[in-house]
Amino acid sequence: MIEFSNVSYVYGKHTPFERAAVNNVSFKIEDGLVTGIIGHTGSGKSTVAQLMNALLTPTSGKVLLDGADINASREISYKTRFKVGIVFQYPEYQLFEETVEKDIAYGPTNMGLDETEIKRRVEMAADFVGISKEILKSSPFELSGGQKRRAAIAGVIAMEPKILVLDEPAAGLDPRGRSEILGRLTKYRQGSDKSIVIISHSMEDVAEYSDRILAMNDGGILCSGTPSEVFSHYDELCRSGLALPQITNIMNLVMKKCKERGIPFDNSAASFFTVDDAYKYLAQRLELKSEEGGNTVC
Amino acid sequence: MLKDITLGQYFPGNSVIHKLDPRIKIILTIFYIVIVFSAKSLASFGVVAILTLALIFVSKISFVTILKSLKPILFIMIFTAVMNIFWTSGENVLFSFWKITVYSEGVRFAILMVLRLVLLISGTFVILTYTTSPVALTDAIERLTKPLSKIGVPTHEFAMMMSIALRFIPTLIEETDKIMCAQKARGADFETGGLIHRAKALVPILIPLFISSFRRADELAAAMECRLYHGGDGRTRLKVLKLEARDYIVSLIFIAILAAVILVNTQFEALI
Amino acid sequence: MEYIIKSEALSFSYDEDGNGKKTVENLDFQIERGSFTAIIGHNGSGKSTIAKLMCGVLEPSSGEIYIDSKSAGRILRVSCDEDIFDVRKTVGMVFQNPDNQLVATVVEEDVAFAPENLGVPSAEIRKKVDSALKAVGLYEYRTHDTHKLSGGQKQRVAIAGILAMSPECVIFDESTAMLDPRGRDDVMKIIKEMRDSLGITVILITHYMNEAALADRIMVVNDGKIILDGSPRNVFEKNEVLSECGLEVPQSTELVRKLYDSGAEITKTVLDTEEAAQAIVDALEKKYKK
Repeated sequence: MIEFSNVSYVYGKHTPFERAAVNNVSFKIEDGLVTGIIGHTGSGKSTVAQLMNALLTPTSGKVLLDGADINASREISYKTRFKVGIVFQYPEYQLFEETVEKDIAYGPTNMGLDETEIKRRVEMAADFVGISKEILKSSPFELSGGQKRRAAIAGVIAMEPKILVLDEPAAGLDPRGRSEILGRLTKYRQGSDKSIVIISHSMEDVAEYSDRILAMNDGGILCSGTPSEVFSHYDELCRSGLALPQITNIMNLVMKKCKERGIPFDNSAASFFTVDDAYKYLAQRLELKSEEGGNTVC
Repeated sequence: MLKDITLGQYFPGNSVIHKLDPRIKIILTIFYIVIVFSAKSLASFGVVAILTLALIFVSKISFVTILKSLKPILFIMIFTAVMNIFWTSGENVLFSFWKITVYSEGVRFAILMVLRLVLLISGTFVILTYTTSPVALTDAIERLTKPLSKIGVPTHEFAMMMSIALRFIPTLIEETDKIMCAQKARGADFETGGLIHRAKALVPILIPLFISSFRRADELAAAMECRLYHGGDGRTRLKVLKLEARDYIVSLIFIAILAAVILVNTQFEALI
Repeated sequence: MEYIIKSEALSFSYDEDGNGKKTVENLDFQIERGSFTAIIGHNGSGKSTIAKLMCGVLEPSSGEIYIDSKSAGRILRVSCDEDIFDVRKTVGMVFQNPDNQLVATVVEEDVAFAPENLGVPSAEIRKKVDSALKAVGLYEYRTHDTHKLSGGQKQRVAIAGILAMSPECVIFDESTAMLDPRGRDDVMKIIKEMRDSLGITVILITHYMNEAALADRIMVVNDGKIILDGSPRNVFEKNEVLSECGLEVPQSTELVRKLYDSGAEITKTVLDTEEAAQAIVDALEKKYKK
């Protein structure tokens, strides 16, 4: 579990460019869950990611991993990086080795693991992201965009971090690539106490895959909770310039219009964010037979 | 963080010196160097010093900054001073002990040499480096060297390369920063270990950086072609550099000071 | 219909000898002057290659693209070396990565790059630069450093740089893919505005369906071939074909379509959230009044 306790981070302290990127923030990332962090550019969400594995040291406040301060000493900070793995935006730009296999092995090698363990982890990570054996032997620079992305993500997964932090993991991918990579990655915590943090400005992605959401604005936390709790604050979210998930938008509009026309509508339905939930509610309201469209899994 | 580093040594400002035509500034810098080397007596150095102080004052560059810029040449200054004090022979013995004799000419010469260095550095920095943006500088160099293109020197290409380099330095610094973060997150360690270890640790940064630079170059070339770039022939410019009153006035002041320095050299030599 | 771009038996392969797999295969299409066309397809479908062929960055392996250029006063051929300069002048292109297409350090100097290359007199360049910057809403930023702008602002500078060239058609090659939602909205607004008030033909390459929904016409490309071509409504209606090519209709379209398929009395295909909400409210009202 990661805990932020009154954490602030200031860029360029004592220079004319001084700017607080994160301002007195406290929250917890719980084990075994997918936490989504949303916020527009400059809201501090990427700084939060770098604070989580001690790439940045807080200007004030503490970041605790399972109760221990990760910035207590240089050695602890270094070791934290293997426990909290970060996949940065466009991670394919960090590939450097001759083969995909060697590149994935970079992290585990730095951890000082023995060869058989490194091999096991490379294979596990490749398998997890869906990279075949032939690709492992080829140069990372010959791969397609989507494959490069996976290879780079495998490089972090191979460290088997307890917490996997993903900064815009699906940026630039087409819809199929998006749902495939997000679907695979969110399986990482299955059957273990590992947790995932997805940082994104795509509301639909965060809403679909997260158990908890943290909405950030101007270096502070706007609201947090389960997706439906967070999306029930739609007016606040809108005001801070965050786009709501499409379905939430539609349901909100429907609610407002229903009120105008005197049609009954449940307020709770306004914070729905998946097609399935909205469909189920509307199908019931429209008294549709469920067998035709109701073959969807919740 | 790398991105905190300010690029070049340009201090943006709005002073008369900042506003001078960059071409004039390059010429004035050369002129200034001539003035400094023309000064031969303490009195004429005084004139140059007044000019330099005036330049610093007008440009609103702080004295601390100027002093800092002298730091790298501190060793050269001391070395020059020592050499001159001990190895100059003359008539008036100041003092002597053991085998060393120090003449007053030596001390005088040492002071002049150090003064020359100080003035040279602070003056050229104030006229050019601190008050001219790299972009303006490149632009001015291109225009000043334009006659050379007639004899086949690729002046436009050189200037274009310079300005693209200037444009991409911040982008590449940012990128280096990102790649460093990403590799650190995978356990790269750039801070401990011996020289060889550290050099090796740079490989995971340099390779992605090179590859991305090539990709950028490729895309930029396509984008430039799409925007009709076809070399320097027939190219016009948005900004036409035009000399204004202040350019003439400052140039005249410099000429006057050169004249004054030469005059002071001959007239007041005997006084000191 | 008056076309501005017309392709005939257009093929392209990245292999020099032309025996390899064709990225674009035997395409025939026309782009109407003054229209807004979206070309969609998954990554690697060949959509970006088509864009690069249309503005003369790539040369066709076989076939031809004809550009009806008003400024050149004749019909240009993309594969003809003498025409290529005029092709690029007529059809401008905005690329994906905003960082890699800005040439100059200062905003206005970057925008001036194309007119400078054209040899336009300075006073006139100033006018073009100012009006292009005003069109993208960045006139106040004209003396700013390009690298200090946000991604969306950089992309707007790039658009201004193309506008300053006075093109008749502008192609956006996934120009919103690297932007945040705010930047994307700003750029999309400018794209619409360019067509509506400047009369420039717009071609948008994208895989965001909600952006494609704003176009008059959508061409769906898969494996180098056009497999669907029609108005957004017609294209979104064929949601199965779209998902076969790895594309998804917007969630609003999906929701309403699901209700329709289950037998609800509702519009079959909607394009955006507004339309979806309206359709749902209408359906609820009908049910409620019964």
